[in-house]
Amino acid sequence: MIKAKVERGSVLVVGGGVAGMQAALDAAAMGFKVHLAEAKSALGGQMSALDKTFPTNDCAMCMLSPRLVEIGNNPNIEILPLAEVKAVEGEAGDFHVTLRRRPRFVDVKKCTACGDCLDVCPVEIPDAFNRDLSSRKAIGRLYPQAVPSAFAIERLGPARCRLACPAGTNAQGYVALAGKGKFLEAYNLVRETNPFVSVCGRVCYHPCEKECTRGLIDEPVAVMALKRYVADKVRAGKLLDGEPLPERDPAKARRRVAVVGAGPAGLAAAYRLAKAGYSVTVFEEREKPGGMMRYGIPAYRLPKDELDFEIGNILKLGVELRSGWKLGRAGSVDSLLGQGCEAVFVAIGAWKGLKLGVPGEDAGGVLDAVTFLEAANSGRDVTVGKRVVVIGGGDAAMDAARTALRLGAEKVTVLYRRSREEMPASIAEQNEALEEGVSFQFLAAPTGFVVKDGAVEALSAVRMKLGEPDGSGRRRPMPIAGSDFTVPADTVLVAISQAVDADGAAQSALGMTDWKTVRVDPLTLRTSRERVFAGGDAVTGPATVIEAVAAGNRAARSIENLLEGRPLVEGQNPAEAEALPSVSDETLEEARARMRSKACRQAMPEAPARERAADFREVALGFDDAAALAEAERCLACGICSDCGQCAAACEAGAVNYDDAEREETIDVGAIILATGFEPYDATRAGEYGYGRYANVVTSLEFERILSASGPTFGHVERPSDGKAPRRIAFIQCVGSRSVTDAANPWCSGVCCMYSTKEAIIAKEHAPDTEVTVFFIDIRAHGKGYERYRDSAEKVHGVRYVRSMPSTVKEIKRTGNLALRYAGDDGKLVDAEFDLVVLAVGLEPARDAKAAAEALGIALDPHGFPETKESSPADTSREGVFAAGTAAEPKDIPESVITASAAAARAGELLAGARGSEIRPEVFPREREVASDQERIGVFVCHCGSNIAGVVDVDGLAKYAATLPGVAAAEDLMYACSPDGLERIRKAIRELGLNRVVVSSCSPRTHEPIFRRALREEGLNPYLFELANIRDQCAWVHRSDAAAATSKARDLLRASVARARFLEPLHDTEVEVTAHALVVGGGAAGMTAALSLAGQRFGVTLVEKEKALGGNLRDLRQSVGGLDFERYLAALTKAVTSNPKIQVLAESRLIEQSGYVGNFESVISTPAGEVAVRHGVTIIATGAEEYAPTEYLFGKDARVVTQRQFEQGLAEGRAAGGAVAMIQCVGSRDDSRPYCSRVCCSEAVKNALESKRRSPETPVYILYRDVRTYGFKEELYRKAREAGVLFIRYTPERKPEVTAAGDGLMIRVFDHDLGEEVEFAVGTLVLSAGIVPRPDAGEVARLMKLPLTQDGFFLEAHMKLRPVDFATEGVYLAGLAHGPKLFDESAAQALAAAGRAATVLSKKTVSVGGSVAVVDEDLCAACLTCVRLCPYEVPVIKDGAAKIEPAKCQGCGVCAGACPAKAIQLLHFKDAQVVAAARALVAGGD
Amino acid sequence: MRKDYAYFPGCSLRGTGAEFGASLEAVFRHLGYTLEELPDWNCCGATSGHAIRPRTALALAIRNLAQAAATHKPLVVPCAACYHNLRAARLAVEGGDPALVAEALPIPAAGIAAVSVVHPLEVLSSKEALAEVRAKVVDKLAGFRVASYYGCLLSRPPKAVKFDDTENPTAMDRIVAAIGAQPVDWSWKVDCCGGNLSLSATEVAVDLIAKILAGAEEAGANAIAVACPLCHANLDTRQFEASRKLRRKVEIPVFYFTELMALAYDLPRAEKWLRKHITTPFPLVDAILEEE
Repeated sequence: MIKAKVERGSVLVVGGGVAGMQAALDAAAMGFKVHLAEAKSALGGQMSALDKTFPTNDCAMCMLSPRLVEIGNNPNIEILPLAEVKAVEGEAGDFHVTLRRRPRFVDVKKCTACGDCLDVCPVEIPDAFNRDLSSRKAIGRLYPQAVPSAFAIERLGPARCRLACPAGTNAQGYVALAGKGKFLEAYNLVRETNPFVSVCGRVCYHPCEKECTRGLIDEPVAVMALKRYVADKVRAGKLLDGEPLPERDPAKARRRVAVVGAGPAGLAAAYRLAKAGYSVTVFEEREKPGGMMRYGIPAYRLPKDELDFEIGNILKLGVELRSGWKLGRAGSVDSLLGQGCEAVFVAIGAWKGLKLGVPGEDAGGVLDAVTFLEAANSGRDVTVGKRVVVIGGGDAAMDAARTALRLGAEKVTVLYRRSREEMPASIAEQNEALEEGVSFQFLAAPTGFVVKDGAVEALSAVRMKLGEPDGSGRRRPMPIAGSDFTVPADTVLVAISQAVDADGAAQSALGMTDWKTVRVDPLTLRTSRERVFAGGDAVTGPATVIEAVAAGNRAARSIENLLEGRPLVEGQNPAEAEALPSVSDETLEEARARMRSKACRQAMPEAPARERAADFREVALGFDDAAALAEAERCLACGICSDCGQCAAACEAGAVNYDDAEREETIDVGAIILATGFEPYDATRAGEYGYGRYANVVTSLEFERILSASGPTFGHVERPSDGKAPRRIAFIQCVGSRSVTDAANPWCSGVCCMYSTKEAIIAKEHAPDTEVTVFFIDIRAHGKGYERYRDSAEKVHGVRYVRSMPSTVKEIKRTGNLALRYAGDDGKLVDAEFDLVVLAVGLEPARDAKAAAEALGIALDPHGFPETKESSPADTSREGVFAAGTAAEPKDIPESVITASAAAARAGELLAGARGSEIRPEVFPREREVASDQERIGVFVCHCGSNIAGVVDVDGLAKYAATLPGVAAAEDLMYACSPDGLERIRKAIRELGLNRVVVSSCSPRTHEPIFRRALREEGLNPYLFELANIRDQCAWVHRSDAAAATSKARDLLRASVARARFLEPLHDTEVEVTAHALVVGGGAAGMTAALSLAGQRFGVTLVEKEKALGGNLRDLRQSVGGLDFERYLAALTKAVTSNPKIQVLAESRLIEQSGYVGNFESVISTPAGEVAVRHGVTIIATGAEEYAPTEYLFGKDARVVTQRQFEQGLAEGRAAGGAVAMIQCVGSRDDSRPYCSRVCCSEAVKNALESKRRSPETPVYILYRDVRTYGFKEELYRKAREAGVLFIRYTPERKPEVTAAGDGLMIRVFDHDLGEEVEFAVGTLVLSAGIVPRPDAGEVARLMKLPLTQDGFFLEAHMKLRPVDFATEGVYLAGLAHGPKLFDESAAQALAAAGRAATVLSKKTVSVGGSVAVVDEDLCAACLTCVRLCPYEVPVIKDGAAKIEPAKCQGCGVCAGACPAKAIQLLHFKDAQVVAAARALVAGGD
Repeated sequence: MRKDYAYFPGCSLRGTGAEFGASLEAVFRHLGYTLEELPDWNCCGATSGHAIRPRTALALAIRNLAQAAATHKPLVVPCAACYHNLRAARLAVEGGDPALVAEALPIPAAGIAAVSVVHPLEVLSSKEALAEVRAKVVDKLAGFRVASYYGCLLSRPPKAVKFDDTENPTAMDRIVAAIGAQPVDWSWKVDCCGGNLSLSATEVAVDLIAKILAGAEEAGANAIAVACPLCHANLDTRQFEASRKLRRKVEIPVFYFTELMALAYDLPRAEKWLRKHITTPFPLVDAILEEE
């Protein structure tokens, strides 16, 4: 029992899988406020991805989904998705927890999960829920039944391409949109940061591509080419032409801004300012706008009409252009400011070509490249000589050279003073120039000109060599003495650099740097003048279009700030501040794995070099649709969400919130339950099986999805490589488990044998002629019903089990089939071929388990799982922090659920004093009397976004509803379930006096509770509600036929309205709960349960048939974990007998029980006579016992003992007397007891080790069938082998033979490894006798009407999710009575039973009634039909008629349907109600 | 990027695998590396010594490491068996039983632990090195579909030799791709070729060899690249027996990866080395290189 100083009435459950959900539901039902933190965006954990479950083959989601809804609707459970524990302060009872909440980017309250965003999101990512076997969108939810149902956006942050762009253009976004054919959306996304889409799609230096993550794997995505593709599509399709102009705010429009220079910087600023609503005038010196884009870049790279189109779009916004205006000559900055402009942006470029400074430069035929290109690009008549030399190595030099060629030069030579590697011109341009015939002379510098008659004749030059690196990092060229040479030339174009072209007055007005560029503040681009800004080449010297655009944007932002009176720096990021996020190897690996297409980068098609060099036609031809699509698909979407804004635009609920950010939250709780689950072993680590390399090698979890109807192949079993149905499937067991290599884990994962068996059976059910082979070491079917299940897999379904581990998998390339080689039964190698190989991957600690443990301050064991105590398996090393499910050790679902309930019970003990202190009882207004009223039905037809309205005529349906009998009001709602929708319904009830409500929308499964609640809040009985499902059962399934769907929706609605007229209010009766428990059985389980209940401050009566408490524990000495049972039992007994809340009745028996949940009455026969006990719950912990062997000379020869006797002998120090042999499975796994006793292998190994410890030289043989040391007990098995214990396998067909000889026992057994019979003598033979039910179990079962399994153990309500409950409410089960298990498992189940019991005992009352069956005693013939059929054994015949106790009735309706006399009616589904609905449905209404 | 290395040719690169030695030296020189032959090197210990007297084998290897320590350079070891043995000795020095090491060869161990033993594949497959490997290509080997075969000595035990993925190494594949040939993914790249059993238990070796050859062909390869003289000997010389075993003719040329590089660089003596092969590579080489 634990005690806390301060007790808070709240519990934090970390992890929302099946264990976390169970713990949350239990703790909430016990009266605690529960905070349920889940790292993902929705609950469900690993179980949500499972197809079926063993051993019942139930659908996992069908079991889980109702629990999800239950949690979602529980007012005392607050779900905290996307939350991780960061730190825990305080102590047990009073914890202060800091949570890290990751952003969802979608408002949970607003999102209605309509899915409109899914249609528009352009980013497809592998669907992790389907194990990457299919794709999903960047926005969405984990799976359709997810709770919370709200969507979430997967968003890592801006992609590297976007960060690399000087203007911050969202490259990932427009690439994604381009890939989806959303050209205008893509174009507009570019224009958010850059009005020159087409221009930059053609001439950008695309730094985005340099940083592209894909480039780190193979080649970068052709981002620029895709931008051009988008621009071409927009222009060709005239997509922009119909676009409306933004409305302007007249107040803003009165404010004027001047821009000097119509180049990319000036126009970008003008565009941005005009879009913001200001009046902008652009002053330009030259005739046409465009600056260097027009006069610097030749048309073969950038056709002029492309430029005109984009500038035209800027001017369309109302930007005024004044050409022929040169700064200094036409006016000054001051004159502009004087004319009413509130700010000036100077972007006059750098137009003055620099001189070489060598003799003869003024000769005719020598000119600078800028002047040359300007003339050529203006369409002026420019002549060039036959031999042209271009000096320089930048883009301008390439442009000049190629333009000269097009103007008729015969030979064009580029002279560059460094080598090609240093050349700044883009590689593509260099190559194009070379192809067209331009020749290059590297490492050569001009020294002068040979001039004749005032005209240049040749160029003198000198050869260079490269010296040490200079300031630019490039190696400095140095002349080689005496290497002078001349190049004949009649035109020389100098393209070495450019400077700002402005007169002295203009320069001094602005303020210049030493480099003769305009001096500005780098962040705001403000000059030395208050309202004057500058940017572009004028500031940076000659640079690129995109850098100029970035400057224009920056200046525009500053000017806006200035005009609006904000600090200039607002919204301005330092240009180079955002360092590119580095990409880790892991990320790259993941990206590699994610790569959907291995396609190489698409090449840009070009016009043939010979033809194109003759004129100015465009060289690059652009992508066709196929190339663009292929290229767009190469994008890895490394930011995942691309911030394209499409979902936000599509969301009518306004739920998308890009500004959501990570935050910290703190909560105070009394206890913490850790249920973070497991991580499947990463099969790529087992490289020998080729997972990740061979398409048809899949993991068991992937196969689970392949089998699932909701999976990537919709339940068609297909193999990944070619979609064919696999005919031969191999399972390889123990992948990542039971291994001592670094690449795997030493423990047994405990569940893989069974899930493989299940998957094998399901695969056979899908296609019975599939050959399924399971390769295994030991089959571990140690759970309840598992042995039978495995047997049926082999014998009924024909699954082949092969006891051999293939060491490697080879892929046969031609077929994609897989070749396995393994040792057959006879030890010979067998080669076999399979179509599909499934790797049964093991369970590991959750990826963040270590961090979580640190945050929680709990200790981990060497395997990385939290340390727990054997006698209290939910307790971690820190008091008040409990562990549940696979977070603590690999285990299957029922055991996870058990430990979850156990953890809740322990939390309940800790916080018993504060129970109920933090939950708020819900108060509803007094219910209105309606039964006698004339029905006034309100009908609400939901659009569900476009989910329903897109198919069904919702308006028409609402109008139609208004015409139906009894309908007082009908209206349509966008989302009936949204807060405003619910308010409309409530208002209608209130104001129109409605007394029945019909909502025509989605599924009652998820939404009925929400609407019923709205009724209660308005004082209407919740049973006066009816839901017509016109979404799931109509709109969704009849998408293709709107008319028929609408007609069906009318039918469905008409039926619901008809039924609603007959609805009656139903009232639950509250019955007080007796806060006392009866525990039957005083063994370890019974005592543990009793103590936990007493710790939770409930009274307990503990009934034990023997004189002493302890049960089996009295005969055991040591647990497999090393616990000393004698001492433990003494302490436990003392704790029980000394506890004032526990009444122990020894030598007593339960002889009678009656009543129902909350109020049982039992009669106990005690030595002092019969005692009556009133109690609210019963726990059955009657135990089981060791099988008494009849085989192997047991009882005939004193040297043959049971495992239990051998353990006692060891404990008492009795020498074994010679060698020891142990025979496993005695009395288990045979025809009379076809189940595994679970504990014997671990016990045998433990005792063998103990024998070896005491007497290392004594040989110990263990004769086994499968060694079932599951979980961490595998370590014991390994230690036993290391200690020299010899394991010899036998089969049931050839059991060992034992004969007694004078000096020993002779054992003969066929050794499968040797392939021959061996014989040896031992002094002691130990029989691992199984566990059998108590002989009186049947009596207890009959007495309490509890079911037993075929094997005589008690049968729980549900093998998977209700392992400690009986179908009868208020009765629970723990310990060996449930089935064979080890001590710690009994302890966990006992705690769980106490926890489950506490969910009833914590309540003051239980609700009785509602939709239950009622008997008309006058009609009842006492025919027993209902008694026989009821799955819950509720009806009894008393006084000649059936009696159905409302407290016990589950409302399933089986009896009502079957009653021959029609004496039974199920309330809320009475004949009149159902018949009315059916009649209306088939009546037709039109 | 480091370009000067000490170099341990071992016996085979001077004998049965002379074309490996010659092509390797030529290719490294062509790429601007210097290989300084280890002064006074001796047997690596990979002969029958390691089976008969493991301690002697260890002593032989340690002596080589001591020699290498004096050069202060990483030691390039091309023969897979030599590489394996020297790495194993290196591991024994570093993490093994010091007494055993001292007993094996009583010389001062100082510096030995600092010797780095590298395989040429390791040197040439780094990102920077690959860029150079790619840049020097003259004849792209398009048309060569190469199954890179690593064998067992280069890949296991991972503790001693790991420089690449144990089950799916790709260093050679990356080099093959860099010289313009097409690497073929296949499943037998780290299987055993039979090694020394080729002479003592020929049947066993031929069985293994046949599987490897058939696997390469099935995966669509028209050439196999190797990095071990013993692998080369087994795969190159046993194709007749392998064909008999498989009951169909298998004929697939087996190259040292350095020979393929030499072809891609059009190095002058490349053809001469290829003449030493038993399974003639010339029909393939001529067909592909003449096409261009």
